[in-house]
Amino acid sequence: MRGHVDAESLALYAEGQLSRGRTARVRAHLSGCADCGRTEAALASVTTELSQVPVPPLPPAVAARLDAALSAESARRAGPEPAPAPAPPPRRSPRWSPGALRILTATAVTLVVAGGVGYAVSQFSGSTTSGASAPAGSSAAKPAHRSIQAGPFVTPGGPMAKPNTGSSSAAYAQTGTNYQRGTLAKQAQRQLAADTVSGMSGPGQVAAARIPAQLRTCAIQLADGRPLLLVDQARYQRRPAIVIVVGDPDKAIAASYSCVPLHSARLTARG
Amino acid sequence: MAGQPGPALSGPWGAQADPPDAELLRRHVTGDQEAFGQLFLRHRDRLWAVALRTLGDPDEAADALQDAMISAFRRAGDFRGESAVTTWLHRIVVNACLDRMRRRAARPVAGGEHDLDLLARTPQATPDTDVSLDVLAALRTLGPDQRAALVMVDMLGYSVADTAEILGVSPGTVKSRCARGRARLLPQLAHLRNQPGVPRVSPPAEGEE
Repeated sequence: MRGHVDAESLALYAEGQLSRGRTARVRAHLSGCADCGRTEAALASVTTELSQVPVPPLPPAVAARLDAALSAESARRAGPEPAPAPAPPPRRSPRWSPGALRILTATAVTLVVAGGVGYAVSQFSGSTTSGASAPAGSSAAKPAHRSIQAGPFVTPGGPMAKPNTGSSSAAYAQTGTNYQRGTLAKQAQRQLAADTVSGMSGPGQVAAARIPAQLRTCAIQLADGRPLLLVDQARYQRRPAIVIVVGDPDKAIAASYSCVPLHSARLTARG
Repeated sequence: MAGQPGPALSGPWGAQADPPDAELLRRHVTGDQEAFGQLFLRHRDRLWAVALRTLGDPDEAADALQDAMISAFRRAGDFRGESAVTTWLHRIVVNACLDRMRRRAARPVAGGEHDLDLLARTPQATPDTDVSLDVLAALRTLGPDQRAALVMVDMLGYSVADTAEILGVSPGTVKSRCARGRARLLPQLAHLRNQPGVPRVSPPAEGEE
């Protein structure tokens, strides 16, 4: 064999992937060529180097997101609960009472985009952190003094069911809106206007009391004591997500499907 | 798990867990709400490792894994038991990854697609060392097929036979892809070895089958 054997041939030789004749020639060459012997050894050490790269475990945030996605899938399969349509046209016919609108605009609003359905997590993983009761109960007291923010959604005598979060009375919608990172605040503002109202009376909407317990838990967790105004099962950057709007202080947060905040955006007063 | 290259598989193909995978899948098909979750829980770390190392990007890996699991969830009824459930799950994940890589290759990556917040919030339980980063960077220079084979066999310790089944190719093809991948990585990783440099070799000579 003239010259050295190239690395690829040596690698294929090591794997027994050369033809018989070529295998014999490489073997013969190797027996007398220290250089190629070293290359052969170096090829073996590539395998070692690859094997020594640590493999990180599934990050909890990703795990939760996947659980949520599967759980949503499970719910879709099982239940009559309408799944978010692929791309339903966003409803944006605000039917606020002027008073409610004023309150809202006055108190700048926090938006939380929680990536998809927190409720799915506990429901699915079987690890049952019993999302429903504990956080809901624990946060029950907090937003009480903020009832003015929650006010618009607890229309006295309105058709909205009693909020069984104990305190939060957000409207619940499943718009499937694809919220984008850059326009999060703007889209949320629109959705907020449309959905909170339709959440009370609009067709295809679900009253606050019917927000799935774990989803509610996630929302409350994200709201972190602030009044929860809207829960929208939607999309963020094309991924299944929920959008939660909370009032005061005035910032917006995006979170992953599994309740992990992804992004936040301040909602300025409606402009 | 990334230990020595030696004993390949004690992981997913090893001892069967309590309700066997196939039983869980069967329950899922017949409407059991929990079964698929259990199944996924059982294998998700491995599947994540495959996706992460094949794609080289946690955000993309998460997307691919999610796509794959939803797909597996829906197509569970198609599972015919011709392979192990783990093989089937791996195949779906790997295919989702390869699809992404090919799509990515087809059109240049639009910058800013990453959700940096999510990335920032994804804790690296095992921070990659400098060496690891070098290896991972080198790995990214390989084409999808070579990379998938090398990740599974050399990096994650799957056997050639299992890898072949997962990738849907012959064992010989897996070996060839791994061999070519190693040869391509060789010069890029030369600096990691405390040798006075890997010996010069002649240019690639198309000498293989």
